[in-house]
Amino acid sequence: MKKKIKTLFKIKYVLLVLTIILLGSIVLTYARGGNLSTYKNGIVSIFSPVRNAVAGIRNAINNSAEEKKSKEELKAENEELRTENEKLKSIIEKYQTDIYELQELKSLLDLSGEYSAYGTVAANVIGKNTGNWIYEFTIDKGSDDGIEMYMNVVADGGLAGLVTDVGKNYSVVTSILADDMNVAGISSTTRDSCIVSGDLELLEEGRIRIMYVHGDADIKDYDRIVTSTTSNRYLPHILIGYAHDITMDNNELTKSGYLVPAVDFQHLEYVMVIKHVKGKNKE
Amino acid sequence: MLRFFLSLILIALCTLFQGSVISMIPYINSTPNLLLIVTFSIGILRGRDEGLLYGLLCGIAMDLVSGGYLGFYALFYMYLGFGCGFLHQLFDVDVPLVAVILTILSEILYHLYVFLFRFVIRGRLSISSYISSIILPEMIFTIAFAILLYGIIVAMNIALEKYEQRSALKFV
Repeated sequence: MKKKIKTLFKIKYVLLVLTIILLGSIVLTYARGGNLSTYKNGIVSIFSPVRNAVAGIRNAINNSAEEKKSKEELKAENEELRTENEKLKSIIEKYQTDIYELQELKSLLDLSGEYSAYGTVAANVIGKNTGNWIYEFTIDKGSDDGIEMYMNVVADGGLAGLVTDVGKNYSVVTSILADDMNVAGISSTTRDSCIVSGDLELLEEGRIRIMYVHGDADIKDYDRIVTSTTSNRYLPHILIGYAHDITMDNNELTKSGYLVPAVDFQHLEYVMVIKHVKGKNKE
Repeated sequence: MLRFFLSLILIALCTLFQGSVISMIPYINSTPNLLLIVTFSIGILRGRDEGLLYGLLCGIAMDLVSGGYLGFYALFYMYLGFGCGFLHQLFDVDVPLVAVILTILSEILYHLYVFLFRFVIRGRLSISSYISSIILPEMIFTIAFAILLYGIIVAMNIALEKYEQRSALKFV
């Protein structure tokens, strides 16, 4: 009996010490803005090659499924692709003229916020959603490839998220769908500003929330919402998604609604990390 | 020592499976919480001390692969392992129903913990929709995996106990 009490006391002591350490760690990482790279690097870096291999296997499976297509299917597909190719060529022609026009207009406006100027790193998505509450994913590039905290991540030409943790050869990206993510946005047509906020409730519908739109603002359905210059984390003029169902709030002062993200998060495999942290190296 | 290394490998495999492999399997659209299963299994099979240790390790693994605050999951898993340790030797462990009931209980605690400290704290209070969209799907998949994984851990425990008895006899 005495021994039993003694062991209970001992383990309680251990529990207390560990609790204090863990609470300290939470506070410490909270104070540092969630950056844990220095603690985490050693252990998780070992995991990353394995996770790479797993992602490789997934790609191999996808490829082998492709190879199994029959000759007829391939012929039909070839035909289809050719006609599509022609179509796309003509579209490109059109776009090229548009781009020249755009460049001219941009130089007039002196918009140097285009992210292509910063250089990008392509990365594979090697892990998704360890838990179901916070929507985040892991990519196979880390500090070795020049990735830093709070770099913007884009995919399919739209904003996918923000690097929230960097390891040696991996990083964790919190997507804009995550419930605690907020992005300052602006409508590209009407220049009305808004806040795009992730919302777990809407995750299944594939949309997120738009809030704090000025009551007089005239954002219509399918208006492009891009990142605003006022955002302290996101580079300006990256497409976030398309507005939907913007209605007046009960307070008659602000409007809110929904946003359909430009990125297809269900089938996210490759992403681009923009190698620039906003607010750093301002020259 | 063998037990420790095997448990480490188990935790590493579960972390990998939970973080990378599950999302590749079709029809599984909610990530089952394998580390939760490992934590309560070891807690109930081995008691408070080991429940605490392996719960802590599972929690740290969870913290490491997700981008949140280091220690957030570790704190919960540690207490869960410790708490399940109190159930040690209270009832027959090799019944699958034990795994199901423990999964439901620990999932409820886990979700309550995350909900309170990551959602209520920011004023997001719509628990009913979270229950239907997050908690229930995860619970169903976790129960399905729990029956399998719990079986594996019980079998591993029996094999290890035999091995430990044999090697203890050798020294005598």
